[in-house]
Amino acid sequence: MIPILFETGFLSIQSHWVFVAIAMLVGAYLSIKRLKRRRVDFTLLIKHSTAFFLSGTLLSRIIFFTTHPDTYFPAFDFRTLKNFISIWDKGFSFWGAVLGFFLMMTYHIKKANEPFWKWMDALTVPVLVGILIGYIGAFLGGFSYGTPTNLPWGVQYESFIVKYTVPVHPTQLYYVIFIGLLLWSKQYIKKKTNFFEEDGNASLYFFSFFFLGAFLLEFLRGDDTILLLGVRLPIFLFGAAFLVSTTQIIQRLKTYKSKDNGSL
Amino acid sequence: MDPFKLLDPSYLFETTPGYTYAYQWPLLVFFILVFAASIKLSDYLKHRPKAKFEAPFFAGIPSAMRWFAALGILFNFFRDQNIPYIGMRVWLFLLFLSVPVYAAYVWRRYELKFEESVNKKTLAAVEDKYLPKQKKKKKKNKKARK
Repeated sequence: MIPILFETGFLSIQSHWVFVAIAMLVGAYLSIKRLKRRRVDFTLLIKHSTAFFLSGTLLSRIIFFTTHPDTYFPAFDFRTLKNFISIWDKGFSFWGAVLGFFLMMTYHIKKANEPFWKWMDALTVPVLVGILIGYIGAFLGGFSYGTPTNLPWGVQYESFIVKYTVPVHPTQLYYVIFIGLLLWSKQYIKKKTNFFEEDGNASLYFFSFFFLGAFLLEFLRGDDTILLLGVRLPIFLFGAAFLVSTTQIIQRLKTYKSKDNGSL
Repeated sequence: MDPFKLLDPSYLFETTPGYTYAYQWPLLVFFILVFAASIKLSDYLKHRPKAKFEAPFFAGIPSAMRWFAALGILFNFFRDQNIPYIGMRVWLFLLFLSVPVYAAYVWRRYELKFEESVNKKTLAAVEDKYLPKQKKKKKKNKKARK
């Protein structure tokens, strides 16, 4: 693919990070727009921007660091701390950043007595759009690739970060298509029912289906991560998150139906 | 294929059953046909005036067929790609097992509630004849509001 967009003697612009930057800008723009529409105190994001940035960065680094033990701490000594601080090696976990941001956001929302689910509804779509754009970058850069396949749409990377030299599943594009369909499906269902009018239902719908999709797509991933019982650890995490969010949305669906709102 | 193999747990629960299997393409064609048939059936149930009492009991079948086909294609794909755990034979087996279970459920519901539903609807139709007609909702005049 195209891992480097532009390169001179001392500077190289990597496509993955360009798309990450685009994802962040688009996500921020959409977030502000949607938060304004929901009339919540979005200045909370600006007031505590440093805290959000630090918590996101720190957790992102911690998770990447702990999930790559072979690279960072072959033995526990002074080098381990030095390796942790060396953030210029670009070792960051996307989901760690999301988790860090989410935890800090929940803390500030609760502290300011803001409506939690309204915030969630406003921010879920920008996060999903951000992930979608990020995965396009990952596809170009050769990150988050899949297992070997003989299917006609398998892609072959000539990159040292991809461990297979044969065609692999373009899992990044599967994610892009899946998230696109998920966003479209909500708009489609919205036309037929007023289920999403209640705060939180839209975000729970997205969470539930996204975690299910991620759970299944993780089985097709071919890059290295921590294994648990011979299976990738994220599979268990996405599975658990799917069960929690689905339980919640089923409860809400029952309440919605009991109010005699008709079928969904 | 030996059908008694389906009773063997080690056959059904083999985590990576292999890339090559004889029923890959027939299954794919079958699931696509089920999907197409669900669309046709949905259309048929909507435009069948003679079966106005029966139709509500079978209205869920096209949707169930679509889910069956979608899951079938997905499990067939995972099986074809030999993905550990989600490519196991047991998923396709359970999917096919769900068909008679669902059919039995629909039929039982139909047997139990059909008569009651007919009586209710007939009675309602007779009673409604003597009730005053509902008032039509007036459209709000946008100009007057302004």
